[in-house]
Amino acid sequence: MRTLDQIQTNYFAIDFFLTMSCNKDCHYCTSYTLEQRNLTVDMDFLRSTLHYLRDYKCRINLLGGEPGLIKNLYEVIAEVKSNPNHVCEVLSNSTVRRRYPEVLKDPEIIYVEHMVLDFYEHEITKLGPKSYEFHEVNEFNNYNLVIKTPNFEEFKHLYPDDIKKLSHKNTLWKQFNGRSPGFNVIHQAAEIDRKMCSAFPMVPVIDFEKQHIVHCSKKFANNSILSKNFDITQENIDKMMTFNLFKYENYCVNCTEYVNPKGHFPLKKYVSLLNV
Amino acid sequence: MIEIINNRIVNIDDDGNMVEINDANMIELYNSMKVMVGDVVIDESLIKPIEDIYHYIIEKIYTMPEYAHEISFKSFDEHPKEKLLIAFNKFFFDMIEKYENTGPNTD
Repeated sequence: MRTLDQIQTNYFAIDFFLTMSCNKDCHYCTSYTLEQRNLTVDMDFLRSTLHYLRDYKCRINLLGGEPGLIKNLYEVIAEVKSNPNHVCEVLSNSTVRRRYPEVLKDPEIIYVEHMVLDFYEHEITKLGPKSYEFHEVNEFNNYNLVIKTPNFEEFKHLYPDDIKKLSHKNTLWKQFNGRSPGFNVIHQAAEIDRKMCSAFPMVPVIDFEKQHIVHCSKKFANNSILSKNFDITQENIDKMMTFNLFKYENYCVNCTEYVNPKGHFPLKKYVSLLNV
Repeated sequence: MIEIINNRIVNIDDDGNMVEINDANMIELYNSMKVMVGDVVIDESLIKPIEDIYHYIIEKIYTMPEYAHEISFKSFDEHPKEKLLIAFNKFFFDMIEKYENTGPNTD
């Protein structure tokens, strides 16, 4: 079984936005619609995209919207897993746990559950059923994802038991970014970190609705300026994977997304991937 | 002309005057380059177009030297080494130009 650490070190991450549809409306999310559409993945498009990526070690993140709404999700996962260069990751608000429980039993699939909506004075609001517990330490590559929202910082001390339950290797703590109105997070990473991020952004998106490559997943929807996009061709995929497709764009200049202070991935990842 | 004398970077002008480049980060970058690519050749004629990412890596190591020491570079083959060296020279000579343009006023 490949561990998450090995995968994060050695594989580039690419988001597959299978659908924009979601059954939740998190206040900090910008890439969803409550309209239910595009719920069946075009397998021909998926196969051709994966074929273009066949020689590259990639972590394919299946998300959206909510991938648990996809009607042929098992078929999609099987296709992604068919290439040993590709690792399948699924990010869900727990709908996958309910509708596609087999995903959680397969350690070759990285399952990341974004179940905590936010922390409040009286409760931790969950996106899934209240009966769902957080994932405990496990060897199935199942992870909790908790976003460190401003409310998390303010109210976490009220929930020591929950924080204790979440404090282990199978919880990913994600830095909150200030995309949503009213959250005045304006921290900006050093320009060089944003430049490195834009060279192979964190992370590029394959948009399954419009069927093209999107430079930046953060400038995806509900933004006044949208990310640059490119046709999906072998040439563009090759350029993308060898740092020749994406550039430092105007929207990167003012980006307030959190970028890891040491660049969005460690230099050792470049070392193995720059040998082109 | 740039010379490395006793591990110091020295700019020698047309009259033979030697001016040491005192930029500590540049010296650190030079030392990091030695670890990364072995023989560091400082030669402006090496500069040619390469992917932006190599320039970013050099700029990153300049601003954050420890970034270069996160790993050993055994898996680094010749091709990226060559490109890193090109990026290093580009960065280096851009800095020299900036240094010369903002040097002490001798009027």
